[in-house]
Amino acid sequence: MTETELIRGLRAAEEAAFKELVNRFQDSVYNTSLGLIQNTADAEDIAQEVFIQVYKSIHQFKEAAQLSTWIYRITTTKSLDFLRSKRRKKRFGFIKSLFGEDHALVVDPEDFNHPGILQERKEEAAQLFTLINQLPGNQRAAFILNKVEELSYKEIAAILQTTEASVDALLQRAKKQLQKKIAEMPG
Amino acid sequence: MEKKNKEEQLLKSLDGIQKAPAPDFFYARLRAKMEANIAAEKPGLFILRPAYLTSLLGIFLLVNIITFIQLQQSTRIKAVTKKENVATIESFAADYQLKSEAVYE
Repeated sequence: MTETELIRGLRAAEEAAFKELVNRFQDSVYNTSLGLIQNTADAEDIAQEVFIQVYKSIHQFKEAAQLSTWIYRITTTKSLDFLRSKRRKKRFGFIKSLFGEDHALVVDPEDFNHPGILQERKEEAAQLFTLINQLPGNQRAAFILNKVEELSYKEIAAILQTTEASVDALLQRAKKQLQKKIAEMPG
Repeated sequence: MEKKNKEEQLLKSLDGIQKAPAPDFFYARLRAKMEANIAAEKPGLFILRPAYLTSLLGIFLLVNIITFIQLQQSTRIKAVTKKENVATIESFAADYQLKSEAVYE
């Protein structure tokens, strides 16, 4: 099925087209979400939300951009929104806990092990993901899209609706931040 | 030197990373979620949503409070009017030097 046929099928709410869409993009969507959120259950929830959003909004898709660009954009936006919401709940839960209300804090898991990392690099990768967790949203997005999804600067610029120069700047800043945090690590 | 090595090791740790595949039965679970969403959005059932029920209860309470206040005010006005009416009858009787009982005959 070509992209045009796929879009036509989605707009006609054809099951076969939707299934094809999911088959084609589920790994990219899940992998991107997983890299950003660092939790398998949450990443799957977000991935599902992405496809539901695509299904609902396909009539608004302007075919000037590629379908993959649009889908990556939705995935990145939803993942970063999820992280912001999680941080807000954590802050609110902390305040409530000060007043003795029984609200469990949102606890970040200690180490995230991405299933696609080479065995001999798992420990270092887990440490790196902990540091990536501390990057600002846009740097984090650019870094994950480049290092985990292995997208080019051009593709990332289209997804983030910016220029290649900006993507380069984001990645440089992300790298500097990570270097700084690595230098501050004990041992 | 060691720090530099550590930095390099960490930054290179994602090299050669494989994409994590979507979980098994992802499509089936996605479809189930979509079906559940559609069922939740059925017309008529929206009234059972907590937000709507709470709003309805709020409106109901508000209407009751307003009615109660108006009733209280109305009772007070009636009491004052009655008092004034009685005074008017007595003053009328006094003005015409009538026995107040005669007024009621």
